[in-house]
Amino acid sequence: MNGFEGLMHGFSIALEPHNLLWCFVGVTIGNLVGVLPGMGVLSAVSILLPLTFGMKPVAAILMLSGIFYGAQYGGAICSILLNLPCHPPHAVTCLDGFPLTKQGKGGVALGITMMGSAFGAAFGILQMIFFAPYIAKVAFSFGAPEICSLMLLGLLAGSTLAKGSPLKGVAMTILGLMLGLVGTDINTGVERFTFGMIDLSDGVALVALSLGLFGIAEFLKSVNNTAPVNMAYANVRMKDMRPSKAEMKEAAFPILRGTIIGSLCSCIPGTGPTIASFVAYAAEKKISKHPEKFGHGAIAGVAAPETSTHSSVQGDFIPTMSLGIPGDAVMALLLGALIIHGITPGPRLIIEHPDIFWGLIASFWVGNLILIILNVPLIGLWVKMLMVPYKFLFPSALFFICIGVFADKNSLYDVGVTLFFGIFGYLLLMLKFEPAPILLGFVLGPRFEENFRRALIISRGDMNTFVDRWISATFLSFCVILVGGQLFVRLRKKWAAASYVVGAITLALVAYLNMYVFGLCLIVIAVQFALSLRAKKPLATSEAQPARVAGE
Amino acid sequence: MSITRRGVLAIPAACLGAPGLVRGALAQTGYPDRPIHVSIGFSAGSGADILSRYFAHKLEELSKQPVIMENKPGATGNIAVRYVARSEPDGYNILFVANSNMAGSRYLFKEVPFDSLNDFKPVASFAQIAFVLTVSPNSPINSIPELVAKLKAKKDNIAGYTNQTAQLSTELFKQLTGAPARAVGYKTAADAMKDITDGTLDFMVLDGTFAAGQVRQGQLKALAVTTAKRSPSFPDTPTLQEAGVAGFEFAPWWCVYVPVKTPQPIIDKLEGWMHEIARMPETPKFLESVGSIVNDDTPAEADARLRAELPKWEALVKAAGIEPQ
Repeated sequence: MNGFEGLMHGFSIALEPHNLLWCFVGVTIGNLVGVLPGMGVLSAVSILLPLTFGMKPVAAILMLSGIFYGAQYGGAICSILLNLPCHPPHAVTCLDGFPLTKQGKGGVALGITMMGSAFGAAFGILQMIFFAPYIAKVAFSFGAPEICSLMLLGLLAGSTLAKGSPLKGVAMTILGLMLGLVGTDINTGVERFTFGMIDLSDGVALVALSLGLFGIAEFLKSVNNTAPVNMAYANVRMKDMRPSKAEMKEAAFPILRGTIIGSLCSCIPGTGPTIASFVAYAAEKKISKHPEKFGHGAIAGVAAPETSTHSSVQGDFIPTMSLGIPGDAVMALLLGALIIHGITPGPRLIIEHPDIFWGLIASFWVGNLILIILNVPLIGLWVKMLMVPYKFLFPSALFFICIGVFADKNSLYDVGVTLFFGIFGYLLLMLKFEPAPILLGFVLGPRFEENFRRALIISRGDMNTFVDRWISATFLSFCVILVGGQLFVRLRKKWAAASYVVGAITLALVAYLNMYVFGLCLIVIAVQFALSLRAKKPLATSEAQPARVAGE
Repeated sequence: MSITRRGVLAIPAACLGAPGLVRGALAQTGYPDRPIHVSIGFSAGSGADILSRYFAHKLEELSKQPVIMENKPGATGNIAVRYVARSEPDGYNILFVANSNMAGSRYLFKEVPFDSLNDFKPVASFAQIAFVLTVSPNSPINSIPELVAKLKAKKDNIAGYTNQTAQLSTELFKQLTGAPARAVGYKTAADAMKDITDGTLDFMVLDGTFAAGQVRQGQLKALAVTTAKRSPSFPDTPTLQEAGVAGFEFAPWWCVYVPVKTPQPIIDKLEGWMHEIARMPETPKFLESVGSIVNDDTPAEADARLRAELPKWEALVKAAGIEPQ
C-alpha cells in the first residue's frame, strides 16, 4: 500500500461514524484540557485510558491521540490572553502573546496561532505519511554526543530569550540549570539538593515550576492592579482576528521556520514540543531583524513557537508508531494503550495493522479540521474570558492550577512547590528578572548533563566523541559561530578585532586540545557573561522604557 | 475480685484497640461499599502501570466497585508505598508494588519512610516480569557463553540499565560470570534503544514489558531471560540458568499489600479476588503480551518470597557499590 492508497484507506476508517465520533470526543476534550490551566495532556490521557479498554482499538487510539493534539490548540489561548502557560510548550508564547493582548491585538495573535497551528500540523502529518521510515532513521543517528551538543546549542541560543537586561537573563538561565540539578543523578544514584525529602528525589516537577513562575507569579503581580475588569484588552470581535496583510507577511516566514524546527525536534527522541517551541522562539529572535521587538508583542514570537509545537506534536507520533519508541510520556501512554489492545507498535505496524496506522493519520486530518471549525468561532468566546472580573477569574484559575498540578503525579507536595515558585517568581518580577530563561535552563540543562556524561562513559572518557561525529560537530560549530558572531557584532569598535582574534585563538586551541567541550562551555558562558556586562550600558536606554511598560 | 497487674495493663490497651475493632467491624459489613484506591509508584503508561491496570480493571468487575488507579511516581516508587503505609487500614487503600521497593529500598536508601516487613501485610503476589538480556540484532553473538567470552576478551565493556532491578541483574550477571562491564544509566528503555541497536552498548538487561514487542519485531536480540523458568513471552529464549549461569534468578514480582492493621476478613476477600483473576483464562494471555507470567501466591508464600529476597538485594547493592542515599 503506498502513501496515497493508504491514506484513502485511512479516511474510509476515520470517517466511519463510530470512529468519527470518538475522534470528535477526543479533540474536544483535548481542546478543553488545553484551555484549563494546569490540566495536562498526560493526566487527561491517563484518566481516560481505562475508558478505552472496552472500545475498539482504532477508536481508542483515535480518541487518545485527539486529546494530545487537541490540547495544543487550547494551550495557546491562556498563554496569549492571560499570560498563563497552561502547558509547558506554550510558556514561550506568553512572552509575546500577552503583550499583544495588552495592545488590543489578542485576537490577531490567536488568529495567527490558529493558522500556524494548522500549517504546522499539516506539515507534520505529511511528514508522517511520506517520510516516516526516513525520519525514524534520522532519529537513530542521534546518540548521546549529538543530543548533548544540540542541548548546548539550545542553551546558548536561548540564553538571550529574555527581554531587558541580558545579564539578568543569563543569571536566570543559570538558576534554571541549577534547579535542574535537583533530584537523583541518573548515573550514580546520588540524590542532589533534595534536603532529605523523598518528594524531591525525582527533581522539581516541570508543571509545578512553570505554573508557579508564570501563572501564580503573574496573579500575585496583578492582584494589586485594582481595575476590576480587564476591559481594555477584551474588545475583540470576529473580524479583529483576521490578521492584516502586513501581519500575515510578518508571520509567514516564522511559521515556515517554526514548522521546520518542530519537525526536526520531533525526530530526536525525548525532544518533545516543549523544547521545540523554546528553540523555535530563540531561533526566531536570533534571525529577526528586529530582536528588540521580541517580548513586546512581536507577531513572529507567537507564530514560530506555536507552529513549531504543532508540527512537533504530529511528528512525535513517528518514532512511536514506526519504531515503538515513545518520544515522551504522552506517547508512552499511547503505546501502553496499544499494547493493552494487543497491538505492538514497531516497524511492522503499518503492514500488520494498516487500519490503525492509516486510520490514525487520516484522523489527524479530520481532527485538525474539527479543531479549526471548533476554535475559530470559539476564539470570540475565549476572549470574553478577559471580561470576567479578576475577583472571579483569579481564584478559579488558581483552583484549576492546583488541580492540574496535583493530577500530574497525584502529589500534594507539588502543589506546595507551585506555591513556592509562585512567590519566588513574584519576587523576581518585582526585581525585573524574567522567569522564561529559568524554564529554558531547567528543560535543557538536565538533558545536556545526562547526555554529556553518558557520551563520555560510552566513549571511555574520550572528549573526541563530540567532534568525531559529524552531527555533533555541526552543532558545536554552530555554537562557535553563534558566540563568535555575537563577539563580532558587539565588539566591532576599538579592541574588537583584538578580542575577536583572542577568542578565536582560544576556541581553536580548545578545539585542538581534543575539544574539551566542558571547557568550551565554561569559556562560552564566561564570554556571554562578559558581553552582557558590557552590553548593559549602551542598551540601558532602549530597554528601560519597555520594562516600565511591562511593569505598569 | 482481684486486680492483676496484667489486667490493669490491659485496660488502656483495650481502649486503644476498641476504636480499631469498631472500625474493623464497620468495614467488614458490606466491604467494599465505596471505590477502592490502588496506588502504584509508576507513572501512567509505564509497563508497571499497564500491568497493574489490568488487575485493577478485573478487580473492579469482581468487587462491583470502581477501582481507581492512583499513580504516585517518584523516589523509585517509594512515595506510593509511603502513602499506603500511612493510609487508613480499611481495605480501600491497597498497594500494587514490586520487590524493588519492598526488598530493595531498605538497602538502597538511608532513610526509608516505611518498613516493608512491619507496616504491611501481603495479600497475594500476582505477577512476575521477565527481564531479558539483549544485544543488538546485528550482533554476531547468539548465546550467553559467546557473550561472556567476548566481554572477557574486550575488557572495557558497557552495559545499559534503566532501573534498579536491571542494574542489579547486570551486577549479578557480572558476579556470576566474571565478565567485566561498566554500567551506564538511562531514564527510559526508549532512550537506550539507539545505543543498544547500533552496538554502542555491549549488552543491556531490559524490562520484558518493553522488550517483548521489540524482540518480536526483530529490533533486539534476546539472549536469555532472568527468571527461573522460561517466559511464554520469549518462548525460544533460554533462562540464564539454562544458558550456563548457575544460580541466576532475579526478576521483579508484583504483589498486593495492605496496611498492616487491615482486618483479616478484608484481606481474605481481596486474596480471593486476586486468585480468581489469576485463574481467569485471559490473564496468562494478557500477561504474556506484557512480558510477564502469573504468580498465584498465597499471602504466606508472598511473605516468604519477600524474606528470601532481602539478603540477595543486600549483597547485590553492596557488590554494585551503590551508596545508600
